[in-house]
Amino acid sequence: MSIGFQEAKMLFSGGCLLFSSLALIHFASSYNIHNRSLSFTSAIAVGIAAFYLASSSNDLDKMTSLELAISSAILGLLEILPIFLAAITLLLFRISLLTNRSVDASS
Amino acid sequence: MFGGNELLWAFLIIISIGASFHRMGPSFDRSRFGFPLILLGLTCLIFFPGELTENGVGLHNSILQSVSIVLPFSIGAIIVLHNSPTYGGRSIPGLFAGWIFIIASWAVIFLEKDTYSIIAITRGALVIMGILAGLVAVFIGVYLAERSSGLRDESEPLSKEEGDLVRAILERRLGGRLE
Repeated sequence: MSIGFQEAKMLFSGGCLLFSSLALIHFASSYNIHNRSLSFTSAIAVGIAAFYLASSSNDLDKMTSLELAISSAILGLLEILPIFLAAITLLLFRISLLTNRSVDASS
Repeated sequence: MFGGNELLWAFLIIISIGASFHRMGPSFDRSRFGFPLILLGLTCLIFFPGELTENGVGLHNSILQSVSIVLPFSIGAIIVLHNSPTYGGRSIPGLFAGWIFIIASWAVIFLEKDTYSIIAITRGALVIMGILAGLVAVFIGVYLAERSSGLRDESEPLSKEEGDLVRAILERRLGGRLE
C-alpha cells in the first residue's frame, strides 16, 4: 500500500488549510488597532488556494472535501505525535539530568 | 444542521481561540479568558461531541487517544521543568514525580500503538510540508505588510506642555538646570 498523488495532494492542502484557519483564528482573536490587513490577506490567500487544491483532489462536494482535508491533516499530525514527544523527552532528559547550568542574566 | 460534525469543529475552534487569547499575555485583558476557554472546549470535545459521521468518529477517537497521551506528558514536562536545575532549584522528588508522568504517557503510547508504518510517517511529513508552505506564505505577507507601513505613522513632535513636562522630569532626575 502506498500514498497516491491525489491523497498526497489532499494531505498537503489539508496542512495548508489547517495552518491558514489557525492563523485566521489567531489574527481575529488577537486583533488590535496596530494589525495590518495584508497579514490577514496572505492567510486568506493560502486558505483559498489550499481549498481549491483540496476540492480538486476528490469528487466530493466542496464542504465535504474541505472537512475531509482538514480532518486528514489532523489525523496525519496525530499519527506522528510520538516522534514529537520523543524529541521533547530527549530535551527534558538533557535538562533534568545532564545539565547543571542555570538560566540567569549572564546566559 | 448544527449538532453533527459541526459541533466537533466548533469545539476545536473554541480551543484555538482560547490558545490565541492565552498567548496574548497579561498586557491584554482578554488573555485571562484563554485558559477557561481551552478547558471549556476540551471538556465539551471529550464529553459532548454530538452525533458524528463516520469521518467524525475516527477524528474524535484519535483526539481522545491523543489527549490520554498528551495530558500526562504535559503535566510531567511542567513538573520536570519546575524542578530541573536549569529553570529552578533541583528537586529529586519533583523530578521523579515528573518522570513518572512522562513514563506513563509513553506506556500509553506503547500499549495503544502496536505498529508504526512508513506510510503514517509520510502522511505526517506531507501535512507538515503543507503547514510550512502556509507559514512561509504568511511570513511573506506579514513582512510585506510591515515594510509597506514606512514612516507614515511617525509620531508628532512634542507640544509645549509635553516638552515642559519632559524638561521637568529630567531636571528632577538628573539635578541642576537644563539649558
